[in-house]
Amino acid sequence: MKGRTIVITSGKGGVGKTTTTANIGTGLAMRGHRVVVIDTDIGLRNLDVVMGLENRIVYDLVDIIEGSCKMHQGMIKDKNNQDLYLIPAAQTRDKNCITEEQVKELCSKLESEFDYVLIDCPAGIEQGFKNAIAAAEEAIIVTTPEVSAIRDADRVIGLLAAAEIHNPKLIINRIRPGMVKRGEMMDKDDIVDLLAVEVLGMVPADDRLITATNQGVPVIHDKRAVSGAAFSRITARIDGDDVPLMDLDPKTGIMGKVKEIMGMNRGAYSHA
Amino acid sequence: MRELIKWVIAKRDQTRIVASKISARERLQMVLMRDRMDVSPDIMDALKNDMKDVMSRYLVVEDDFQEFAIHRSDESVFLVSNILVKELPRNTATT
Repeated sequence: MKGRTIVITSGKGGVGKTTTTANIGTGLAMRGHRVVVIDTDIGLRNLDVVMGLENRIVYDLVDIIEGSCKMHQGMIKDKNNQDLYLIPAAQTRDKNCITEEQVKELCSKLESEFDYVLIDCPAGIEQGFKNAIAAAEEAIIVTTPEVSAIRDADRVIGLLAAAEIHNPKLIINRIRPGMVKRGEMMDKDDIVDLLAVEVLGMVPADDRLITATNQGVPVIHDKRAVSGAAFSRITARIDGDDVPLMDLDPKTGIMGKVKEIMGMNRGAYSHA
Repeated sequence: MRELIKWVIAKRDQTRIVASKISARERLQMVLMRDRMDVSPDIMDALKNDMKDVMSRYLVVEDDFQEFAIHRSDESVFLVSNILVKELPRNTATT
């Protein structure tokens, strides 16, 4: 069966595309799928460090496309998952050295071998973006609850529609439940009203995500991380499971705090 | 002292009345509306040429439209154009 090719994009930089790609890729592999993640941010590669595979790179995406190596030589196997592979971006090349057609050709080869082909898109809407969406049939848009990120997400939704990629799904990253409760941050409903797209998931701002990234381990491996649980649920939803959106209501009261400290509140953040 | 506390609380409530997310929402509504209505010059040119083709099946119109632009009011978008008709062919009226 042919695999699904999904692009993870945002328009704005720094909203968490790469982290999202790493975690969804890992999550799908943990569910038993064969997954390849491709970093298409040529010149500014990062997916390798987020996944902790930076020391294993020999060949990259451009090498594969130009035929300087075989496709399988350019794919790096993940540290923890037998079925997860990374194709890193070239670091010393320029985004114009590959074409949309070449990306399509590569992805159609990968689709015959993998269940999921995830494409990490560069920021912006220029050639790098066009290359990244060329082969995709589905799109995930990452945004944060900020005016600038949502504006760019809207623009990208329009560009995806023009490229015949319809019904993109939205991930709202770095939500701070306390601020939402105080009315100081837009929540899911505000953003859905503005963008009119389906929400795939919400990821709360989480210190554990930062420490996980420091170590090059996707946070989805951290069973105590609320962001990891959020990515687990998102992964399950992509895979077709009907999982409700996470309840982000901050736990109040002394017992809530105590439970949280003792790690007994995991029920609320349970992994799917 | 009591007065002071009252004043402080009143002041705090005043600033809280409009939570910042409201202004984020409102600003985004405006900016998205404007962004979505932006039509690229290429599209405008293509539209203009197509309209000219269709019209010249029925009328003889001046090549350069005197006005051809998208105008916006608060709620709606209008395509406003002023096209000089140079000639009305006789068969236009009879069919």
